[in-house]
Amino acid sequence: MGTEPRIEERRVVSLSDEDLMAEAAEGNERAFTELVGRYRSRVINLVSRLLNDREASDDISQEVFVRVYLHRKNYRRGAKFSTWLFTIAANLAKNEIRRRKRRRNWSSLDELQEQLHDSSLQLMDPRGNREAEVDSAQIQGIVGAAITTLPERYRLALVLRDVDGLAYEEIAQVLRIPGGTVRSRINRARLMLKKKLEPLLRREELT
Amino acid sequence: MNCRRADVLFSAAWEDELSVAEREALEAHIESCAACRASYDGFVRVQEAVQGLPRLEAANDFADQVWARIRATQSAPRRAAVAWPSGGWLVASFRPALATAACLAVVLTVVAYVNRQPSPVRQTPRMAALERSSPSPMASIPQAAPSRTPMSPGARLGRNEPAAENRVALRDQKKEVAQTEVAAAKPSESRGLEAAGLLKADEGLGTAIAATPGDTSAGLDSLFNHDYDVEFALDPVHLKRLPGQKKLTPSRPAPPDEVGKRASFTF
Repeated sequence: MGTEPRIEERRVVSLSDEDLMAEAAEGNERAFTELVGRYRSRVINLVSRLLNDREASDDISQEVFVRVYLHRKNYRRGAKFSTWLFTIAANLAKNEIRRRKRRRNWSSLDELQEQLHDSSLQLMDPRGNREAEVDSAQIQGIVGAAITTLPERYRLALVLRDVDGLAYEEIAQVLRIPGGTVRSRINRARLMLKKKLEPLLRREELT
Repeated sequence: MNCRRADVLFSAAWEDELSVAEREALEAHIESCAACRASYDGFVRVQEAVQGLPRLEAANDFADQVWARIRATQSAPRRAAVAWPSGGWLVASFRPALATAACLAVVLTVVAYVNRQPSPVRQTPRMAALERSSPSPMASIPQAAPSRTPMSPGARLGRNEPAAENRVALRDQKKEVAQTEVAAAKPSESRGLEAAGLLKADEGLGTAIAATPGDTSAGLDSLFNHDYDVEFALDPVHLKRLPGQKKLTPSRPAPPDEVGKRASFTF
């Protein structure tokens, strides 16, 4: 590798998200690749927790970045890049949730809740034998499934806050709702999730 | 503080957003209420479980896959453009032109059909009177015989300018009327036509001079507005039958003592 590419790479790495996006809008592919590298995992986590489907998450996450690139000219300089990115990601995830609901090849909310309830009952096996014990991966699976049983609006707010760690203000911008509504949705989502996971809590599997 | 209020404050307490007074009140309630203490404990554990969910990592070639999709998306129109002869390129590239051509074909078909049917020339009272006054010359020239009487290229139709295709059919009507008028004016070959001073001899034939509201009782037999009678001032034409020919041939220029005659008809 020559000296000039290394210098350019160091320069790109040092740029802010917004500067990278501005350069990407001008056609700098290296700048866009840097943005993909910075945010790919966060986008995948967001989409994956919203859908609880890793395979589909990869596909949708790639589509998120494709949309970002194709619409790079629409990015307003001065706007926070991550907000714009997560808005696109949330919208694509919402579209997928609704598409699956329409096509009915997605487990319905009731079915998921039933599965979750069965898993929880299994965890509450009164015999207390070893078969009823679950490992942390199972618990994580149950928690992930419980999140996807939340109504879409609460699920989005919860995942953006508790999985991706966005600030309330940023969530308000992504979801285009007032900050107070964000807080109430997150609070409601957390209480709903706690209620769904009560069987686990009783067994004190959640530590 | 009651249990319901305490439940609402769990989230704010987790976010450390409570005021000092709220926090103290919540802590006091949790100390005194075993149910709320267990509930808050469960709330904290669920929050820790959610935030402790494993972070999913993207594949190493994630960026490459994104770029591949971008390239595929960008090249999609070009691929479609060379997809001959599947038809996709043809349809996509010429869709507006095809739509326009289809519309044009429909319009032309309708116009051709309408004009294929002979449009009856409705006689105005003036024409009827003229006809009654000189019936024999009209009868002497068969209406069906096409006249070679030249029409003025500058003929205008007042407020109803027809499409180019219809000018041909309209010109045929004009010819018929012109021939009728000329024939009617020929009891004596040398008799001129009165044109009320609207025409000069060198202006040519069939110049429209007025459009007046007319009878709308005639059926709709063309695409044009039938609400107007269009008056034409006809140039004088001197018709001669050349030796060995059956048809009448106009001699131009017309004799200087002949002037035009107004005619009115509805189309």
